[in-house]
Amino acid sequence: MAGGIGCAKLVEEYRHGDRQPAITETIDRTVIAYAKLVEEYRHGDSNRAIAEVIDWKPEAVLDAIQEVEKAERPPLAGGPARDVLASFPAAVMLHTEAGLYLNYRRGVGPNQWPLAMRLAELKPVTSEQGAFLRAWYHAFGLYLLGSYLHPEAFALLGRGLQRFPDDVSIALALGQASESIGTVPRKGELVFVRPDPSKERKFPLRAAEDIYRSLLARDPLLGEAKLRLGRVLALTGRADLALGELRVVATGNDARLRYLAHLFSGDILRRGSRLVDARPEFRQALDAWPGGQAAALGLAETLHSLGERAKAASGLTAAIQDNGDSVRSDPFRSYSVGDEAEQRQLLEMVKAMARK
Amino acid sequence: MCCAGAVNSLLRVRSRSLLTGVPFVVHLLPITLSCWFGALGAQAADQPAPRFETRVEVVKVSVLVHGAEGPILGLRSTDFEVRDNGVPQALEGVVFEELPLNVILDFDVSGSMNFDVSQSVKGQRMTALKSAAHALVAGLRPGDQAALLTFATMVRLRQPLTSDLTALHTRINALEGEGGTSLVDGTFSAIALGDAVPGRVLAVVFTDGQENTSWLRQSDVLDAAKRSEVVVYGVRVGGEDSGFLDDVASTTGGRRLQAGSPEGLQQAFLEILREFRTRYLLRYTPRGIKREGWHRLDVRVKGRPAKVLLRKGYLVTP
Repeated sequence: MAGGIGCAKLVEEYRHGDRQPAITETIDRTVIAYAKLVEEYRHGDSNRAIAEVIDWKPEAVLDAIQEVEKAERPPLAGGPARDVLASFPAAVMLHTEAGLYLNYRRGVGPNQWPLAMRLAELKPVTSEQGAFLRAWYHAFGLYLLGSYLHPEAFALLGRGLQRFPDDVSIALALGQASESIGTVPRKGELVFVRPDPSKERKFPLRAAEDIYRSLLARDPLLGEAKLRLGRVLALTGRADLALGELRVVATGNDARLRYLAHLFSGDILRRGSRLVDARPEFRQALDAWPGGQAAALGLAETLHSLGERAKAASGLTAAIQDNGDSVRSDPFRSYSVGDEAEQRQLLEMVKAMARK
Repeated sequence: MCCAGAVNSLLRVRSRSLLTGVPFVVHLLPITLSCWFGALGAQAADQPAPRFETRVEVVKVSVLVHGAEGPILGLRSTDFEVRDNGVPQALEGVVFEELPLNVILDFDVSGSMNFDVSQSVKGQRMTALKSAAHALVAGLRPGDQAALLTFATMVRLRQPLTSDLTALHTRINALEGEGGTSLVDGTFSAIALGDAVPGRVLAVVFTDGQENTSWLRQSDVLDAAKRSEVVVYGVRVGGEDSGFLDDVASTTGGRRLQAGSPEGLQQAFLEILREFRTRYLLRYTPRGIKREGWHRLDVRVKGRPAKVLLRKGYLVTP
């Protein structure tokens, strides 16, 4: 284990002799061990490598990463740091996975994700490494979002967009993260959903609006951006503008987008006490996506408000009735924090890219 | 509601009531007789239809009466003083323990249900929930019915209202924890489904309290609770609390209990069932007050000190 490198001889040399060689030798050994770990992750037993890196002392990992960063700058030299640099996506993914493991287990240990982010700042040498980095920012950002770590997702995706300003997937995910900060309670945070977002929540919604507008300026037909722009406009109190955007999306071919556009339109009308107008919007949402629970709930709540309780109950029952193991999907459930299965799949894909 | 719809709803309610032997009560369903007569008149060619502005509404109020020694039983209608928006009302009936119960079990089955109930007590929340639910179902009496509703990311009606206890036990055994927590959607679903059921409806909403995936807003559900006659009891494990469940419970005349151990959870469920059985169901037709809007309810027991738990009021929308 690299954390135990400070052997008696080196300690003695540090205490009584020339300190610098002892430090240098320690770091060299650390880098060699780190390079082996990255290699093992890349070509060997990735789980064992993850378990080992969690066991490392934080200072040892930082020493190793600093050496890898130095190897990026001229004069270029060979050696283990250079080896890590050549396959740094594996190092990025090693720390990403170690962080995921700790997060899942609620375990203690050095925070791995900042290490992954630091390594991701290295310059890609090949086009494959560039493709990996784009995919990593996107996949990991969405995964953090799905884990209700919205600010972390926002920070990561923001950095990703700075590095790859033309990447539509990263931009959309960043908008989604920003939107979520403004609307979704974080895991462990007390629930406090308000009819009108407070100032602190409006700011991220405005940031999301800017992102969507910028995407639409480049591609006016980008339905996802238009839908999300409509939603953000509604949440920031511009109902008429929102309805205008959503109506366009509601005429498109994508059933998921049509469902959400009608759902959000129904919500706007419901908030505006236009219950009778809200009803057909929820119904059209259900036409676009049969069994969509959010629309069924919206319709049931509207009918309940109108005093039509029997209809409210029967419609809702149809949407929530258990049919064996099949659980109907609802695009709204993944609108804010994404789809868990898709997020796992994306991470697996990125992992495969790093372990090539 | 259109005239035909109103009449059909009335007939449906009536026929169900007759079938179950439950005294006929209109569930805050406004029936505009002028509308009914108007429809009949329309068939009579050019004769102008007579118009009546009479509305028939019966308000039901579930109350729990507590004295120093516990629930006070055996009270009659003459023992109660009921005010609707401050105006005294004449009770038309008081029912106690005669009506079968309709219990909607509304359970959080999110991923966090796989954690321990508390740090000091070993055992997963889900295991504790199942034991408590089995105990509650075992406490049902002949004629009682229960439904099983769950919420995680999605809301699922696992078992519609039934008196088949074996089916309920089987469904409870099959529960697994996974996904987010749509507490607000789950609570609304219990209210909406309960409102379509005649008779006394108790909703037991259990959660470990980390709402994050609902579509509906808390204010929507609180408004629905004001319109509803379902009595909501909330049970929570874990310390985080937004106050939502407390608000819904107190709005409907129920209350919220906290459980810190598997045994505590079971006790809470059984306490709710026991307490609900000791509630009185008061009935009156509102007189001397404006129909629409919020009606503040005030119920007292004459001539003796008693604490009365009931819903804060009810909302009649135009």
